[in-house]
Amino acid sequence: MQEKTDYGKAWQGGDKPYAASYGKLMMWFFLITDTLTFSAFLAAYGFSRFKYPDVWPVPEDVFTHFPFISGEHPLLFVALMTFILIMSSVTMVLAVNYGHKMQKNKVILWLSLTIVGGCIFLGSQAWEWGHFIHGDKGGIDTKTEFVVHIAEGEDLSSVYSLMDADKYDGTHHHFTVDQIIDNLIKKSEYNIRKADRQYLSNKESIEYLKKNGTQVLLGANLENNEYGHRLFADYFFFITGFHGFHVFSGVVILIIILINVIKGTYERRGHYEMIEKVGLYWHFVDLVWVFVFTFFYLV
Amino acid sequence: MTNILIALVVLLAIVTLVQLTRVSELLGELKKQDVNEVTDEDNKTQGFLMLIIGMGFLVFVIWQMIEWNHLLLPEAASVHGQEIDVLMRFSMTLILVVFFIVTPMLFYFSYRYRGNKQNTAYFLVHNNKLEFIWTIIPTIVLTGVIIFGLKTWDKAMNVDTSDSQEIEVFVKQFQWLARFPGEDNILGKSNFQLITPTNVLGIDEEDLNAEDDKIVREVHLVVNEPVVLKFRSQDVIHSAFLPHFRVQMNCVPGLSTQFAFTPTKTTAQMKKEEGEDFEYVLLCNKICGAAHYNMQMRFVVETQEEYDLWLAKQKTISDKLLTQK
Amino acid sequence: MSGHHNETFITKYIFSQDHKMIAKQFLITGMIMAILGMLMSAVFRVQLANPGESSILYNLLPGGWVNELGALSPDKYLALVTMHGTILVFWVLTAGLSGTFANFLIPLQIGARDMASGFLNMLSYWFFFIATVILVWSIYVEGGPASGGWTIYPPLSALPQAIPGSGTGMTLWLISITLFVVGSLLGGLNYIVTILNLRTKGMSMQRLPLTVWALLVTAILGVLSFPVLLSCGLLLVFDRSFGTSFYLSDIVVNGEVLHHLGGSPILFEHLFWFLGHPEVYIILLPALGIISEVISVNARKPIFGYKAMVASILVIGFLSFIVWGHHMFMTGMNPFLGSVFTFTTLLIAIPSAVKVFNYLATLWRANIRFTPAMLFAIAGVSAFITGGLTGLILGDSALDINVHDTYFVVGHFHIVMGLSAIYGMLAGVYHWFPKMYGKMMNKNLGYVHFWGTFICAYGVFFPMHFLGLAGLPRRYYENTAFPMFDGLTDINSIITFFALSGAVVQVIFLFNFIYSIFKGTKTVQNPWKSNTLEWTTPIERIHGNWPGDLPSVHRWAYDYSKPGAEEDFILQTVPLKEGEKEEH
Repeated sequence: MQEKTDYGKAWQGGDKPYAASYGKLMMWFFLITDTLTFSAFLAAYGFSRFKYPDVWPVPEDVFTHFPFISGEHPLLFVALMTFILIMSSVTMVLAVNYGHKMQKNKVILWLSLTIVGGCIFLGSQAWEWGHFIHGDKGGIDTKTEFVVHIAEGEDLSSVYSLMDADKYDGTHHHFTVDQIIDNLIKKSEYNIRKADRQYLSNKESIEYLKKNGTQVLLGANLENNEYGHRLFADYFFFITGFHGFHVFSGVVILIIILINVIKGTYERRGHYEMIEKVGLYWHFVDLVWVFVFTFFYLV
Repeated sequence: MTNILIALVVLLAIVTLVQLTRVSELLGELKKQDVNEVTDEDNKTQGFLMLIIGMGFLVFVIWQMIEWNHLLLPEAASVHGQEIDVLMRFSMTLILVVFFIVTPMLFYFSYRYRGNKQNTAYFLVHNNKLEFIWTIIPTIVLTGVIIFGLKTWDKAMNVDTSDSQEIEVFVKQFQWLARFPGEDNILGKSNFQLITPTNVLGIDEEDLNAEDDKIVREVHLVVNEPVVLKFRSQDVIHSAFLPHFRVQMNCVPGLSTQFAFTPTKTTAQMKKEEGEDFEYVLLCNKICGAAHYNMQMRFVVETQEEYDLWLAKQKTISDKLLTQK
Repeated sequence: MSGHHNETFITKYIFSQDHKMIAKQFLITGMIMAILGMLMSAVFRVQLANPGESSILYNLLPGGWVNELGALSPDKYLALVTMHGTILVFWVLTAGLSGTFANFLIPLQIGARDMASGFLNMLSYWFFFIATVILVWSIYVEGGPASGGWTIYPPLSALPQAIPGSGTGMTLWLISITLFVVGSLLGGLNYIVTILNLRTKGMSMQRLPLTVWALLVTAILGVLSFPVLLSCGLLLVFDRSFGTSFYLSDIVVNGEVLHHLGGSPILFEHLFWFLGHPEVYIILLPALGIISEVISVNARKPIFGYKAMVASILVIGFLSFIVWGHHMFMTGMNPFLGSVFTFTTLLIAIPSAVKVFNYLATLWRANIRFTPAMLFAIAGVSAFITGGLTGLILGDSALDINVHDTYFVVGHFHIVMGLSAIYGMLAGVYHWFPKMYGKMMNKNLGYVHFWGTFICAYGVFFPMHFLGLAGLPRRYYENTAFPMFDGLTDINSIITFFALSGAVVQVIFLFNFIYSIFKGTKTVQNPWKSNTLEWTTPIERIHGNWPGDLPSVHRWAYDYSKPGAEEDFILQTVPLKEGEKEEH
């Protein structure tokens, strides 16, 4: 029996009212949940960081290393990592595109390049972590303030320089506060820069350390770090670690999908929608990195 | 042995219930009735019960209000507390009025419109005018409540403390301590890393301002003089709750919080009004561990002269250090 | 499409991918956990009525929870309170309520064969099951289960030195909750996609029953707020086990100065309550959706103001995200922030009031059939009114100063969640039992269960408001430490009396439920003469729900007692007659 009512634009039932399959919709909603997880972490980071605006380490002073090239190159490596990840999103888009056109070989090419990009990112992140953990200039933890650093006049120097030690001589260095104080007495051109970026004179520095110094910090772990506030390293490890875990799982999924492409699974299925779904996840991982990079490294 | 007996009794009770239910259902089948169908008789009974027990509920509420009214906290003993009490009376009246209008309506309608086979319900789908009315009226009422509430909140929170007596209240598992700033009216600096069994509050003993501070186990206040309590916690979150003054503030490790108020009634006056056993008391009001229920500190509100006498008797930190040496 | 694969016992009852079976799995697990949670409350209510004395009920507890005199030890009292809250908020009222009814009703009421992904749906139950096992296991570990309140604020929940339950027990709690959240998210994703994508022909959004609308908004709330709990919990895991300082700073405990510096417990509270507040609406909205459905069917009248009801669900859902600070008025937050949260919190009263008035208008000039489900639905409205009104006191920051964390709060949230939401859940069980099990529950036992519960429940929770206004804090092992509370012992005894009686009354329900599954009278296809699609499926329940084609929908769900119709209900599948206009 024919209905007389005019539904106009009302949907008549059936499948796909929003021109998206349920698999794609599921991926979108999952990405929404993941967005909220990361947002919570970034919000927590913002909350903590802006409680201590004066003493929070400046990322440009911390992330200055570049593989195989000596010298200070603030944020250059992290910029390169970002570039690589973004390029991997580009190769992903190309893979999806060729998937629509059912061109299997091109899909294999661009998907492989995406995986390579992801792996380079992971390797780079591991390198960053290694250097972060190993440390750079060293610092001294204090009772009532945060971590203070060695300076020469108004220029940042390093614990190694003060102690005449070679950071790269392969030995595991360990210094006590008393040793630092002794060397400060011996070398009067050295002094302390406090956590709030104020410089003390050599004499003041010696008094200050005698009263307040607790331990010499080289490198970083979850409990404390040489760069400054404890939470700086805590959030660094946590947020980049959580993101890195997503990149890792993304690479694993991409490899599995690549194997399926090579086997011809999607040719037989008649469509490459799986590439699109994984592409969504990969773009999400990339977008999160842009936010992490902005909020953690730049702000 | 007892356990086995209990288990047997329970088992028998279950079997009995099963059989009784089965019997009633079989009887129903015999009478060709569906024992689980809701009949007009059922509607009549349940409708009556809705009315009677529903109204009984309201009577119960009124009974509680009358019977237990004397147990509620007495009038607020602070300036901002009195404002809070006004707001509370207003809000309570409002919600009680709404409660005593809407709840009887619910139970009365349930009774009045109990169903039977002859009746038909009235097919009313919507009425935009009604929706508008019962959206706009709550909105207007709530706007009033919000404005009143925010004004009271502002008066309680945004207090000018430049003339207030500063007192530090320090809390840990499971004890309250307080520190008065002494003659210079400045509290000495403190740091948690300096806490030891002899330096319980972690006071920086090199700070000259700390020398005349006095650590006490009960707090005395002068009536009608503003005071600001500064809170510090050593281990977990506690909460300082002074119900008679309408004061509450969380004590959070790593954070300093405060609450400013002016007490208006002396302890002596309260004893006359509420009985000789009355004491102002500070309780912990945030779950903090096993003895959370047993953390208290006595507060006393008295005249300036009584207060001065008491304060003079308290030892300063430098006195205590001297006696330790 | 029906029953085309062979089902073994395992695939039919255990690793089922059929939404109806998964719903029942959630229901049974939820009911068992409810019994556990209620037993815990019976135990601690006994302690509160007879402080420091021994009791036969304590024999239920693990060894070591009572001291030599047989009295419950104070930190284990806190453990009971913590686990009671955790079990009832998450396991019973979230998984047991949403998990059951979203899974059961969504495909049936929208006319779908099953959920969008039966596999993910099955996974969502099994994650929940493992989470349950881990939580129950945590009760028996050394040191006891988590004991810092269901809200597990650090530093208390981060430091085993502060309370024993914050050791292994807390670790297991966190693992359990993580799995629970993953399961909930998997479920929620399914619900949203199914409702949006798999509606049958003619089932536009405007024709959805209110239950489905409520479940949709609930799922969206869950998808947006549970991940934040996950993050919150993960940071706590790191603080507890890996030495980070996200939430911890300036701590000296048991004589030991801890190294943590720079963290903030307030950060935890913000993250926690960002989930915590929407969570209570995740609990309440499905209950209200069920109540709407049950009231309309049994009043033989359309739900009054369908569009306003949908709008109020959406507004409540949206507002629930911007009120979380009202749990934190007394943390020392900036007073301006407190004002903002007071404002948004009191706003939520408006759509709630609209809902209540619409329910009243539905009952006006109705033709009410008092099934046990209907009784519970009406009681649910009563509890929503009572509990909602006391919320106006708590949401007002200035008033909160003296009632925060007192029994006033306990009374409020138990009436809205413990009464209103549980009544909604019970109404749902009684109402959809015939569809779930093909049998009817015994009506007279249902009546007795209802009146016993109604009387005892208000007897337990209404007096608590007076305890709160007398200044009595919550989570107190006993009140004897403060002379100012001496006059409250009678009230405590009355509450405990009603609590224990109420617990005993629930046995009638359990008996009725189990008995009826096996020996209940067989039902007919549409025992309540309801309009919605689930009642057009066969009594014995098949895979794929309908034996032939999927039904087509021609009208909204609420044509009850429509003038001109032969009967007092018209199924959604019945096409409009000549000249008949569709209602909205």
